[in-house]
Amino acid sequence: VSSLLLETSERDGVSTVKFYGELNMASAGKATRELVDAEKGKPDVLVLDLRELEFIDSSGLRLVVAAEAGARREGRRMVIVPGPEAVQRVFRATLLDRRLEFVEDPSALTG
Amino acid sequence: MDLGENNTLDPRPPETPGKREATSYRAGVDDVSEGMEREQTGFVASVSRALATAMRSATRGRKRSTGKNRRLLTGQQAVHDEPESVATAILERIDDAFYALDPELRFTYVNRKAERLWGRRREELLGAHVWEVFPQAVGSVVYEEIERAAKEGVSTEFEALSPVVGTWVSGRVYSSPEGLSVYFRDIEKQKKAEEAVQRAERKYRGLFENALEGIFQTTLDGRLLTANPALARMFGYDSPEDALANTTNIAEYYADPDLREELTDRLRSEGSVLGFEAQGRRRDGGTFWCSINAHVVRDGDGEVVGFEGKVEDITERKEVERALAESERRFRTLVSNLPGAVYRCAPRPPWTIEYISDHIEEISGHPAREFTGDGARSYESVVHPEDRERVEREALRALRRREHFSLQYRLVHRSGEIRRVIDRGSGAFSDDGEPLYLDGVIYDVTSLKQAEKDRDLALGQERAARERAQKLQCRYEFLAETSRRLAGSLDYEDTLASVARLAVPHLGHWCFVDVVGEDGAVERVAAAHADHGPAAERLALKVKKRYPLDPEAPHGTSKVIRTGTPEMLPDIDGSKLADIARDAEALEVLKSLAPRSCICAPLAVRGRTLGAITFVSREPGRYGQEDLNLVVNLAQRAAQAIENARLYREKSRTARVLQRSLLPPELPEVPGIEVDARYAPAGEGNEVGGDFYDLFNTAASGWAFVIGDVCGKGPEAAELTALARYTIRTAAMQEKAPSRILSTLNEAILRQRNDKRFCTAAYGLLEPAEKGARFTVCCGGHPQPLILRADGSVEPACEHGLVLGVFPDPQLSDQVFELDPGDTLVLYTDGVLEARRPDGELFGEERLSELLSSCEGLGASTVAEKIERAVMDFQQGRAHDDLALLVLRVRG
Repeated sequence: VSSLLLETSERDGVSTVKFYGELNMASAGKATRELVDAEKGKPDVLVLDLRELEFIDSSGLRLVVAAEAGARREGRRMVIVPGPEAVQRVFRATLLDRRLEFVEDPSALTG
Repeated sequence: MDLGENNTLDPRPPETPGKREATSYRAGVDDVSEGMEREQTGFVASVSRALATAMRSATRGRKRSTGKNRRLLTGQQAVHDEPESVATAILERIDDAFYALDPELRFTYVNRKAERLWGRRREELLGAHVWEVFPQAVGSVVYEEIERAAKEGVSTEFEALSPVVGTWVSGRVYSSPEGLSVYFRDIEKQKKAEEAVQRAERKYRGLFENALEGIFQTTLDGRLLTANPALARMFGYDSPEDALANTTNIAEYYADPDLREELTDRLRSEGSVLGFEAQGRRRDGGTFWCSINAHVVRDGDGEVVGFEGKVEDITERKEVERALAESERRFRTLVSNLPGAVYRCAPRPPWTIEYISDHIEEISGHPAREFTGDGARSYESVVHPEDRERVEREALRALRRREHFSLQYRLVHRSGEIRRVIDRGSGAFSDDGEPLYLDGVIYDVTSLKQAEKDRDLALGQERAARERAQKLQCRYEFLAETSRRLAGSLDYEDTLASVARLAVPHLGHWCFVDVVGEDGAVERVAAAHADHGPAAERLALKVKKRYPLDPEAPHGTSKVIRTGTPEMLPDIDGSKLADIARDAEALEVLKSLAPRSCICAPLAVRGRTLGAITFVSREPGRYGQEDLNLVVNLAQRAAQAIENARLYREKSRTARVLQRSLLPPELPEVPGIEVDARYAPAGEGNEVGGDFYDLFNTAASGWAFVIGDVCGKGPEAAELTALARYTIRTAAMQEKAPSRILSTLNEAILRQRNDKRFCTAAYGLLEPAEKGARFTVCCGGHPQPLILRADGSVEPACEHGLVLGVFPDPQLSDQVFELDPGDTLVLYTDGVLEARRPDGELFGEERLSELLSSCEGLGASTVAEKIERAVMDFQQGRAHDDLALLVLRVRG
């Protein structure tokens, strides 16, 4: 049983994938498929909303990094809505907090 | 009308049971308009022919009584209208009891059957009043019906418990001006049969409706006659009705319609076919893999009139098989690409080699094939004569203690040159603790030492390592998925035991599961019984033992395992048990089981027989074709579970050997520093983990240490781990600054991979200082190493750095600090911080810092031990991630 739930929505060229639960080795495959779907409509901005994500491990980080590289390749902007401390700690420890774009308020993107 | 042979008045000609079956089968096929008849016959035929026979005789029983009543009405008229002799001749012969009463309810006639049922003679009855003769019946249902018929002049029917006969009877009362005619029959047997049929029907209808397999029945030319909900679903129809209405020919269900012909050809010649694999085609055109078990349906003349069977969707199984084949191939590739010779040999002198990889030729000068097969070169012969005794002694000791060994010794190369090797391995043991074989890897450390001295050669090696690594491209997700599925059936002995327990008493008094072990002997891994009490328990223990496969056995488990063909003994002659038993003791046990019928099916998977499952009943004739099909199906599933578990165990063993090869064989002695390391892989060890550590002498500048973690697990992660280790070792010979070394690794990963599988690492350089030691440390996306000062304070050793292998411009910085005697540096991986309690709480940095503060003054190995134990306790034995620890303490 996967401990990750995903919710995708699209509005004004902004595709948002909201993560609930845990992004780990077991659930990374599922999340990858969801991200592929979310990008099918070729949105201008891809938002990974991690506010409800409780845990991320290195396989999860790899997914985020790969998504960012993919978005960059296709000229798309990818932003992350920061998660709770347990998640942000991992971005900080890997210095990825300085290499990825974090946005506190995602509504500003569509507004 | 012929009444001589058969004393029923059924107008149909007498039938043989076989003929009846054929007729009814056709009725099921052709006579589809007849409401209830169709529903019952159609349903029955589709589930079980055996059951159908029972159902039909019950149905016909009902039809027959209706028919008979019609005939009897004529008979009744005969009593009153026709010459008495003809009427009584008929009435004496009918199977029903009959009597006639005058309007005052006095007996005017009683037939022979009624006399028999009542146990009274007609002389006593004729002329007497019915309720005077049978006062016990007054007030009963029969009484009420007869009184009503007499008073109201109507004909009535009843089905009731007769107070006179003492059993259930059904009857009819016909009223006429001359009085009443009453027919009745004992229906106790029929009632019991009906109840049994209803019970069976409920059971089988449940099986039919809820079966996971699709169940079908077709005519010879492919018309679909029956389909259960699973079949309809499987092929994309809304319901069985939808499937029946919209399928012209069953050949539409095959992606390749020729396969239907192949299957029917085989069915015609073999009668039944098990595990026929084909690609099915759904209504929407999509395809999937399925396995079909089918058999022919014959009429009474033995003529084949149709086919029926089950379809199982095996897409997942195919996927697993494919993934397993894939992962096996990857492992073989990885094995052949490792810079060492992987081998498997006998666990005792002369250590006969079963397999050794081609690298042995580089190490010894002799090709791998010389070491295996007949007249092979013994491995011992290439070991330096002075080292032979020690190597043998230490290998044997490790086997005895079931430990891993790591031996350094000299090999004599074919050229006469002396090579230094490290041989690391471990034994594989049977469940009884018998060593089965020895797995290991032989590394040529002569060349490693040369490489360290010779920069160019080292670079060449690095290139070679990269090229080798590049060859491996494997999808990790597949492996993760495979192991997830396999994880469900890891402990197959337990699984089989519970299957056996569930199967009795449903399928017999006893159930045995026998599995052929790696040594060829048969082991009874499960014995379940329907009986309770110590005698049965003792018997179960007695039958649970190992025994050699008897190649001569004419029946039973040994034969089934040998031939791979299921066997059903419907009626076992007790005196013939000696033919089945393999020895006197077995005969004794067999006798106490008192078998009268049994089914034994092979545990077969992919053409190999792994064992057998046996059901034994004390009832003769307990089993039919349907039971056999069920057991065969059960056996197939069990076999798959065993196969998966075995492959998994096999893979785990390989993974452990490989894992060890990615870590330093032993930690070197560092002057003035106390060192210890820990490595704990998560779970079953089925996959090579991604954590690594290393500690080595960089000659000029001092000692280098590194700890790292690669995303994920499995061969691909192992490949990156190998790349990281070799790159760091090579770079450490050219560079001093840790940040430069990690930068080189960053480039190496980026050059070779584009899958964003990254690596985190903390690298440090240790040089002697005036008082203690000077450390230069750099962290690439890795959890910060911690310094535990002699006074108990804890601080991070360096700043965070960027993960390696993602961005071309790494942000890495070196931190220099000195450690005094008694100070300790602790390096660790994610497995510590991300260790989780069952309630989800993470171990975290704070808990680690607190723990370290309490380690003030402890030695390096005690510190390592305490951390490892705290993490293990915290997650209560359920490790999610690998864990690696490296502890360096300046000696006081």
